[in-house]
Amino acid sequence: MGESAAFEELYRAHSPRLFGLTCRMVGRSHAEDLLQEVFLTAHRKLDRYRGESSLGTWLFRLATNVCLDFLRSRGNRNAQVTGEFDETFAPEEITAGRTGRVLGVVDKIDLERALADLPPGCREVFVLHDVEGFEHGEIAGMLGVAEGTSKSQLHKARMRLRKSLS
Amino acid sequence: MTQCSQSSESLTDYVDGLVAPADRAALAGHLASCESCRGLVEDLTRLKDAARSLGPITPPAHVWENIQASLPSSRRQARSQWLGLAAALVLVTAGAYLFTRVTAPPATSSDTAHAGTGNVGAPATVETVEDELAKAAQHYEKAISQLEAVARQDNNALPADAAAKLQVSLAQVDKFIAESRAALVTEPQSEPARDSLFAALRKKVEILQQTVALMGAMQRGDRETTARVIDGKKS
Repeated sequence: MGESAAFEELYRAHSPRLFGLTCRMVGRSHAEDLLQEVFLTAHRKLDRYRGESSLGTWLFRLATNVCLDFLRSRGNRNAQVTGEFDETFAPEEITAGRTGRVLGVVDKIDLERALADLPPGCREVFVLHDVEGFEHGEIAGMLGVAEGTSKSQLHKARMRLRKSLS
Repeated sequence: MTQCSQSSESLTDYVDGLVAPADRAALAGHLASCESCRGLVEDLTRLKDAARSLGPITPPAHVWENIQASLPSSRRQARSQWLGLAAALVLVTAGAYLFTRVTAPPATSSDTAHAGTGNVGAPATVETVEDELAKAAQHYEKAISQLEAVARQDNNALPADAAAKLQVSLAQVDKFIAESRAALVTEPQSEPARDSLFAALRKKVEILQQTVALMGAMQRGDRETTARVIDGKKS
């Protein structure tokens, strides 16, 4: 197997999962560019990969960092994580919306659409926690925020999604 | 419906299993009698399950074409990258295949979206175990042949003592592989012989990976890693 074929095999095996992550983190319009950046960076850094973690995990971390760097470059991180959501959806509204069960079967396409409409801060936390399975401690480390902020943003994201999907 | 004063944050924690056992019992008692909170917990659980089921998205074909067009063509750089990639592919084609597909418990649909469990195939059944083991052996052999090709190509770059040590180790492990295969020919169902074969194959992959890692470290001028690999220590 030549090196080009080997790298293509790597791309075929891992790009769908990484494209799912980038689409949900930064939106479809930027996801293709970021996926390219992820694989070009991986190609450049492959000689540093020593097999301590699975290759999928290594690529996933790389993709997460590329997405977060992109989001950071677009504005102040703290404003994204703690400010934007609160201004548009106050906690009182969340509490007032609690009137028993309102969701039926959640359609994946509807969920993807509602997810894309979330403010960046709580969308990042929701994707990392509920879609990708990271713990709050890990997310707090990645985003550079307190663990409590991660929990609070997740809660707000879920309540907002519940309202959108009801 | 009467609005309950229970905080919705505590219900999110309840859904995530983040509530202390004592509080959890109290909350469960409250949920039994409060339709409002019970409904919210059901919605949050449903939402969380739906999020976990969101799968991979196949990128458009032109993304790969763009990547391919942007890859650097420097021979030295490409060679160094290929060493890392060869080591990486061994993990994908051999180790990951065996441990996730043959020996792991059945994966749920939600597992496939989470770190470390992506790309897991369908669970092995009793009927397919024989086939899976044969395929796993083939994957090991494929990975070994790939690594052997890389190791042969740059064999002259290894220090003489490391090259000699490598030849001795490979000869030993090849002997074990041959013996295990011979035992399996005599007794195809023998679990000890099968375990012994896979242990020997894993060992050979490990030796070849160390060789490739050593060549990569030498090429980068990484003295610390070079010394560590020669000494046989894990990073």
